[in-house]
Amino acid sequence: MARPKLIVRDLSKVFTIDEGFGKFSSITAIDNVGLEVNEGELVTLIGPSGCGKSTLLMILAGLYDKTSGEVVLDGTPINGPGLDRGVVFQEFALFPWLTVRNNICFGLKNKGIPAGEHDRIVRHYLKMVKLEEFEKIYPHRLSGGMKQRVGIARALAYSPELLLMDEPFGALDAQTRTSLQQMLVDIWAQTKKTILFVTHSVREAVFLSDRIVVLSRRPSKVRAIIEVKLPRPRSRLSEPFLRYEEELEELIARELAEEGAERGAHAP
Amino acid sequence: MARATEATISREGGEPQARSRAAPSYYLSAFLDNFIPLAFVLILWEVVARLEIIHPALFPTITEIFAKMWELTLEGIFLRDVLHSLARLLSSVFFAMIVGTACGLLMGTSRWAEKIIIPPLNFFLAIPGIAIFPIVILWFGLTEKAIVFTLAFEASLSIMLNTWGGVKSVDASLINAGRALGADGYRLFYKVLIPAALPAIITGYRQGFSRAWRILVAGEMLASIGTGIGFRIFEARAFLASDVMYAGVIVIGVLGFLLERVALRSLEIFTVQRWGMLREL
Ligand SMILES: Nc1ncnc2c1ncn2[C@@H]1O[C@H](COP(=O)(O)OP(=O)(O)OP(=O)(O)O)[C@@H](O)[C@H]1O
Ligand SMILES: [Mg+2]
Repeated sequence: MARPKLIVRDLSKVFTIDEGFGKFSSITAIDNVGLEVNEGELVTLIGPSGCGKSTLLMILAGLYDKTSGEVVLDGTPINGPGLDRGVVFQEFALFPWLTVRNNICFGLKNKGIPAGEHDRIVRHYLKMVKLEEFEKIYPHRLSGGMKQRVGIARALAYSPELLLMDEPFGALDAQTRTSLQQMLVDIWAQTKKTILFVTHSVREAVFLSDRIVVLSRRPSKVRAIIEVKLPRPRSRLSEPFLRYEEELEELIARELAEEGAERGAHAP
Repeated sequence: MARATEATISREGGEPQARSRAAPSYYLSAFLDNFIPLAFVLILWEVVARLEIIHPALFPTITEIFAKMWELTLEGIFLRDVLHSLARLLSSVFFAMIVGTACGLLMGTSRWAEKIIIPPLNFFLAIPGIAIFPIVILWFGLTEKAIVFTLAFEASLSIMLNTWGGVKSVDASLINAGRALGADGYRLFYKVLIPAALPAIITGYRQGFSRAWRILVAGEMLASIGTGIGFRIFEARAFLASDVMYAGVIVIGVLGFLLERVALRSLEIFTVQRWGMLREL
């Protein structure tokens, strides 16, 4: 079998927090996490709020330094940001001073793609996210769902190897969320990208994923990896879909209960 | 279901063609918005002055003041004063913008620059610019240089402080996005940090201008440099020419107002307001 696209080995992250007035404290956000993602796979990371999902993704994006461990993409260790990865942020993070078009061109320019090709690329990806007619608009005039679609187009435009998405639909209403999930699955089918997707919605995870990685509470460890063997297109109301959802809910609930018991036992 | 939602969203967020030219009525209403409150003050002044509650030599009517202004303008004195004052102001603030923005950006991005610059910055900010003026005169004599130096010094402090604050409070997710999209070092600096900090930088320019403008007038009075609106007012005091003094004060107000409302406000409208980076009221 081919080697995995992305390998994360024994990854840990300890934050040092400046409390002010010369005091420092530390928090272990991630504790010895290991996982692998194969070429073209869509993997979601799920876990309770504050467990370190964003931290893990930021390390993969090269935006945070890791404390120990190893991240390898296509055989090359990752130690900083790079255009071989695309990042989609929960808070969209579009540049307000650039039009939709220029937001998308930002990465193209930095990658050194000739200006003559920008037009074609921008059109292609705007079409993919169904926003063709918004090229010249400034982001503040877009709705949340539209902003995130630009965010996705911006991250895909320079053809990264790996797409990292940090709760990209977390700030959206339920209906927009559902339609963007479908859009993402379509884009994924079309581009065959490898995607690592963070969420805390069980339903979103089951709908999107080939595999689901369940993380524990902070400091996060990998608690389980579930393969979702549902045919696509998936119906959220089908019997097997609901079974997966239920199984996952139970697993997470059990995990939290065990953890609580453990903590209780250690309490003085 | 999902389709319908999408359609509504597109329509709401729609109107893809940006309005590119301001309608003539915009300029008219912008003018009236600013002018009507002022006209009210002027009329009130005229009425109070005509009632002669205060001695007319101390409180002349607006019509007399405007007549004097017109006379001084025809003699060419006013124009020269205004130009000299503006030249001093603009040259010093221009210098302050360069130094202040550069230092502010440096402080906002380098821990060392921050550590080194902050204590003296806070120290100097506590000193009213006019207080150092006598010392500056010792260095430069009663010259243009003394005035321009003092103004530049004062304005650059405000600009530095605001720029620094602006860069420090740039949303971390924008910086992350910039880095993830391949911008590093100087590219991150001028493609992300500067535009993101622009609202604060413009506020710094505003404060720089208004602080410099205040000191300019005081400086021209103290330096008796022969020209400038401040000098004109101070000189008129010797002859008890209250109409000249009032005329000078009004011109100072009007010029300061125009600088703010026309120059700086336009800069704001063309940049941060167009980008939706200012909260609308
Ligand atoms: N820059 C930072 N400095 C210090 N501590 C941090 C920093 N970023 C995150 N943390 C801490 O690390 C832990 C994990 O945070 P993280 O944002 O990764 O959680 P998360 O799983 O993404 O949560 P959520 O689902 O709410 O987004 C939290 O306890 C948080 O306080
Ligand atoms: Mg998070």
